[in-house]
Amino acid sequence: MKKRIVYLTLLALTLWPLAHIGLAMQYGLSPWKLCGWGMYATPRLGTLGMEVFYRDAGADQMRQLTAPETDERTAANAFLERHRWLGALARPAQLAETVLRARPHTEALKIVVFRPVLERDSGMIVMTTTEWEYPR
Amino acid sequence: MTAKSAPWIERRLAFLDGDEPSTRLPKLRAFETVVLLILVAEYWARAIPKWDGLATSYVVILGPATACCLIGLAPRFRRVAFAALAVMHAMVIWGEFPAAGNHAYLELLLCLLGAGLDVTDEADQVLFLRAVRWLTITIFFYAGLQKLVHGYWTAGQYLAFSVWIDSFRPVLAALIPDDDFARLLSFTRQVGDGPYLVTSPLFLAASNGAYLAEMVVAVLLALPATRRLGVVSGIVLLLAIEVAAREVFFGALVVNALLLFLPRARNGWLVPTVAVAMAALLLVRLGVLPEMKFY
Repeated sequence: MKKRIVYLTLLALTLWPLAHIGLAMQYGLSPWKLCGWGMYATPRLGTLGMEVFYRDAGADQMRQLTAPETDERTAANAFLERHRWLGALARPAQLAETVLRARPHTEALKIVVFRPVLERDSGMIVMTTTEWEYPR
Repeated sequence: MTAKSAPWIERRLAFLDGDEPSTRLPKLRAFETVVLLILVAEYWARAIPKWDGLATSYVVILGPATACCLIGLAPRFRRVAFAALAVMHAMVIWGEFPAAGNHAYLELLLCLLGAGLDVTDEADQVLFLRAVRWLTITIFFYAGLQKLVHGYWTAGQYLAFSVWIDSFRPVLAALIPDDDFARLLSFTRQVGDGPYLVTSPLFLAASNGAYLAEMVVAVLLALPATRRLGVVSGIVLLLAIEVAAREVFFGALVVNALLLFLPRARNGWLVPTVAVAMAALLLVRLGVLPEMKFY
């Protein structure tokens, strides 16, 4: 039994980095984390940025959320930290739920994350954006 | 279990054996002792610079983890100590997830091996050695492969970008022509900065040599005929990496694992060496010894 557990664990640890590479390429998972042994494989740039837009009932346009409540800020920070390492595998559903709960008149949300990346081919730092939309 | 009835993976990993049986126990005892010394030093090295900002869970764990590392130094309590450390380490990883570093997973795996296997049992000794050796090979191999497939080392982008890191700068200054070095230093890592590219052959050779060397070390360690060369190459490569990266805890863990590849017990000297090194690092953190950057 003991042998079986050790060998199966070793097998899993041998195959996991291959899946890790696939997830990194497909979803932007960071090679630095999660036991894929990809430390130093990609550069780590500065902080991520986020903007949240909301549309209240009867309004035509989205407005930017400029003064978030404490729990909204906490949810946003928690999401950004997960998103930093998990890429597209981390979605801001919890944050959206928190914002929608705090704003009963809001009908739709748009969450935009800004992330500077070093482009591999050009060697230039560019800004990338990812958007999620959450209707109520 | 006969050789024929053994699971295929067990037969596959038998190429990692080759120890003189009498050397297995002292080798594993020394290995485990070094792991415990690294763990206790790392727990405190992470705590000391940010006393006020420590997570409550970390504060709660610090005392028991220290006690376990110290109690574990006595062989009769070692497996229990490793079991408790595995639980605490899993809690730390869970608390930091997904930001926990790869070294934390490696430490957790080593704690689980220490808890689950009895190093006085011959079959467990073989299993322990195979597990650590295979893990080490995969770490070297995938560390190289990840650098290759993500493509930031083939044209040197990663190293060119790393000029801003204090500990990388002196190493890179020796590899990058002066005008390119000055250009890279002028960047402030803002959007629009770049290109982080350098065409000097020496620099490109170093950048591509890094991941190739990691994968070659993995192969050298895997082949019985080149295993000693793999150990020496692996240690040299790690030292070269650590000059810039300063990941001393991870580096020490991997050196510890590398020495386990030698057929005889050649790792006893690592215990006092690591004890002194870890004490020195804690004295650096406490400000008694001069400031030095390490992780």
